[in-house]
Amino acid sequence: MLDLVEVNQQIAKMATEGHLVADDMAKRLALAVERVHLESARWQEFVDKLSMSKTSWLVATIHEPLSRTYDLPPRPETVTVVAADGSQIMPSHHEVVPAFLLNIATVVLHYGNGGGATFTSTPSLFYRDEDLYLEYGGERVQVTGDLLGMRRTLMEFDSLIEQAIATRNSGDAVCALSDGSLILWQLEGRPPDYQESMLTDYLACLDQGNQQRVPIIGYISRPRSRDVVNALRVGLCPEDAPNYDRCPHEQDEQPPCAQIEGLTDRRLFVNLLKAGERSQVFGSTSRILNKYGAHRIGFFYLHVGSEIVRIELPQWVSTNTALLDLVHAVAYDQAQKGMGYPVALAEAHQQAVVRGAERDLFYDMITTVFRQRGASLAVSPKNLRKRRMTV
Amino acid sequence: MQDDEIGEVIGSSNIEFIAESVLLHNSPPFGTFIKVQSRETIYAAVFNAYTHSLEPNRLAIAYHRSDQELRDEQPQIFELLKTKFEAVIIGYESEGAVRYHLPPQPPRIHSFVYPCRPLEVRRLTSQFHFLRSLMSVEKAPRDELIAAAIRTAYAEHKGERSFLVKIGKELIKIIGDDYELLSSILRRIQD
Repeated sequence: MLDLVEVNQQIAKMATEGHLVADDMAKRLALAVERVHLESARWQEFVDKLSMSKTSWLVATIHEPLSRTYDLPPRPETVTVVAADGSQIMPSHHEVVPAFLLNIATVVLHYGNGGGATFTSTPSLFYRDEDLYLEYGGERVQVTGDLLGMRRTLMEFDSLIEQAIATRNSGDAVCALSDGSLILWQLEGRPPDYQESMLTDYLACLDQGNQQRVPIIGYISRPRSRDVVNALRVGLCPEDAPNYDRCPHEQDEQPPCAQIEGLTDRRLFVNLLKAGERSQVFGSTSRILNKYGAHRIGFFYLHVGSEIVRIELPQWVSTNTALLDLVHAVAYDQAQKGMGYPVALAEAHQQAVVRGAERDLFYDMITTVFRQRGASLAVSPKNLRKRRMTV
Repeated sequence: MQDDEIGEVIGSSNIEFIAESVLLHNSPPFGTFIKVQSRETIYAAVFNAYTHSLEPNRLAIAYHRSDQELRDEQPQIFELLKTKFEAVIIGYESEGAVRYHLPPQPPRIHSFVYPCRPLEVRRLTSQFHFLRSLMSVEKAPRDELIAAAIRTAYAEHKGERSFLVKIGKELIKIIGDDYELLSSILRRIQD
């Protein structure tokens, strides 16, 4: 049981400390905005400095002055927006069987032509040994946590592309929305054979999108990324070719680059963008992207009115002005329609979500079916005990 | 499923049932007669209809847009709203004859609902037993419901004045000395 009195005291303490941080952040932000204008005025030099620098952070690749903004383009009168989301019932060895379930939902929303909306939700049960365990890098590992998340991501992506392409055939402009990042950084550090197998499937989806000219974007609400702020930090370094490994300022009380440390890009861009405007398309230095080939992911920040969001997109979208304008307009319009968050993603989530009661029902159904077939099976004593506490 | 299906039973008892309308905002009119193809054909009169969000935790909000604008720019709404209607059972068909009492079994869930054809309405309302079923409804104003059902029936009796006279006499018998209710019904039939 939670001691709420104790929690309350800790929350009060957190709030006071947070206040101090906020004051400090405002100063850092002011400096960062100042630096944006300074570096924009001499942006070619800035780009050169960035290319010569070596850091351990992700640093945005810049192609234009940082202060450059793009107005909201008009949305095509008729457009179809497709989104996918998924949820899961995690495998639990305390339950009757260690099976897991993935529920993948898609929504197709037709705008401007009275085409209506289509929702789907498709559950898949995984129970075979080859579903529950993977063998990679010479090791047998249980599919749970990140691995399960990865499988879900792939299935979502697959459904997203399938729906988008099916819709594309109707002739209207189509835009496919995915929840979260298109950069599979979680694959970094995984065994090469696993990485390759996942990436192959993922990039195959992007390939299809490219062939059919269906732009695919990752929509990241409240992004925590700092790629652009990190670029400004490089700019703050007095060295000509900043090198993180041989930093002469390391011992300083406050190294020059630390002056704006801790800021996120979204806090910076609230000050640079007006509602509807987007930033330039930045490049990401995430290492996994070296394996993306023609699908290398870039990103821009977009002011949707209620917040700054990060939109990730493959190269073949960002280099095609028509597609870039389409995703800019659709992302903004979706957020307006959904009162701050894309209506297509919100509806996909609603379709996909598995609630607690449904999870319980799922295990009840398994138990019933197995009992009918005369199998003797049992919930672990630990789980049973949790369900029925006594005094 | 036939072409003129208007709904599907989603809740039922011996006395009444609830159906989901095939089309949004298109429930059968209040006080009209419908039938369910179940074990027997069951006849009923519509006494209520409503449209609401499919998910109990999602409330409808005002968008300040016309219906066409909503269909163009917020198409998901129409997937998330459902129209339902409730009807009181007034009889059923057995061995080719209409029985003016409650069916032995309630309509099956997921049975289809159809509007009664003019001839069926005529047949159902040529006896006045249906008035007693309507009198038992508590979830709708009785005067409104009875008056609406009589108006529906009268339209199928091709405006025969004798029909109105007979049904008026029947009403007096059923209602007894509740003069208020009787005059309220009569007023509503005339309107």
